[in-house]
Amino acid sequence: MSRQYTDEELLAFARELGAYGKPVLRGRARQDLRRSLMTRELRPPRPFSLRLGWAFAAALLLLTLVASGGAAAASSLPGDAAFALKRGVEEVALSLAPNEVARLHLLVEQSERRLGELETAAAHRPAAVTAATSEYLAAVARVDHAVVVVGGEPATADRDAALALATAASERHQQVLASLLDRVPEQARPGIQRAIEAQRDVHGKSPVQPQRGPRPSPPRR
Amino acid sequence: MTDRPSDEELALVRRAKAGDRDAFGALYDRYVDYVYRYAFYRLREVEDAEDVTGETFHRALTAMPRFEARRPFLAFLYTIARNVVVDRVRREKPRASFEDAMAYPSGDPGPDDAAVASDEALRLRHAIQKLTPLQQDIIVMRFIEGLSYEEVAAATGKPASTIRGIQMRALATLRELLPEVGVTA
Repeated sequence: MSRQYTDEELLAFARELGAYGKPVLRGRARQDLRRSLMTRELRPPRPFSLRLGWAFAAALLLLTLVASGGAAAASSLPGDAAFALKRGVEEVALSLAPNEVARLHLLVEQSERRLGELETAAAHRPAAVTAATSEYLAAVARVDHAVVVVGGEPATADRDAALALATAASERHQQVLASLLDRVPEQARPGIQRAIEAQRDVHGKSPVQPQRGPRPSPPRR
Repeated sequence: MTDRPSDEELALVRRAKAGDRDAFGALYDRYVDYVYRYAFYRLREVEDAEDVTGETFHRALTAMPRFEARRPFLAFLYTIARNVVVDRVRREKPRASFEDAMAYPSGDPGPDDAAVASDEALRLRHAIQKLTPLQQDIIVMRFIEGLSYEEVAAATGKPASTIRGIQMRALATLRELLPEVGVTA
């Protein structure tokens, strides 16, 4: 059985740890990394007029796409010809996002859409489940990356709200995916399982957790 | 370290934000070993720790224009390093569970590790890696690098009160794993 330590004993032990071992980066690796940081070219931010021009072009494209085949695209599932149009519109919307926080919001919305398509495929079109799972996994990977990027930014109310939203969506997705496991063809189950694991990773990665409501008080006797 | 950046650090950060690469180089010189040690204690291989250190500073360089100068720069670096470590651990799960187990069945250091770190550091790393990821973060930041609760809270995104609670449980576990550390034995 393990011994019980007092807080004083543990803090004395902790002080020992500070002197226990302080490895440093190897000299060669340190120099190589410094050199690459000093010489790396960073893309300068685009002038405002160019960004405005691009935003206008993207908005025009979006309108054209929606007008020409929006209805068919909206209800399409992965594997359908019209699905490419739906993804195209989504990419245009992403390119218009003014910053990484807005981008994360859009990517979470897109992952919600992919989850809805996966549920529709499971219920009505089992042959489309594999393609829907692949598209869903790709959407989750984009959210995952965006969570890392946004998580590395300075804490602001907007940033924390976006991360909390991503975490809450991830929790809900895990529940929906778990319920889908029994409803999809057997060969599609490993994909759904991978999707659950991918969402667990997203959930564990966000430095901000969603706010929980107060617990309901117990009934009075 | 203190919770507020020194005037000298603030000046370096402001210059680095404005694109002064020499200022970023000075911040690199100041903090590279902190980031490296964090990665060293969180990962199994020296090469992985070096890669994480590199990726952390490259991401920091890219994010510099958006960095809030009043925040401690080291907390910003730790936040990025944590994300990079989580990514790497997730990607390497299958290898860790099979190939590494075959190569180093007892968790012994590989040849490169033994060449660049003391026996004490390697034993400590082996013990730390038996803790949960958050406990690992807290032990490394609080007791190896000496950060305050508030700085650890800023880097991990957890409240300082949570850090306080977790650190004692982590220390108790670590104490059992390192009986040879002679303070209380």
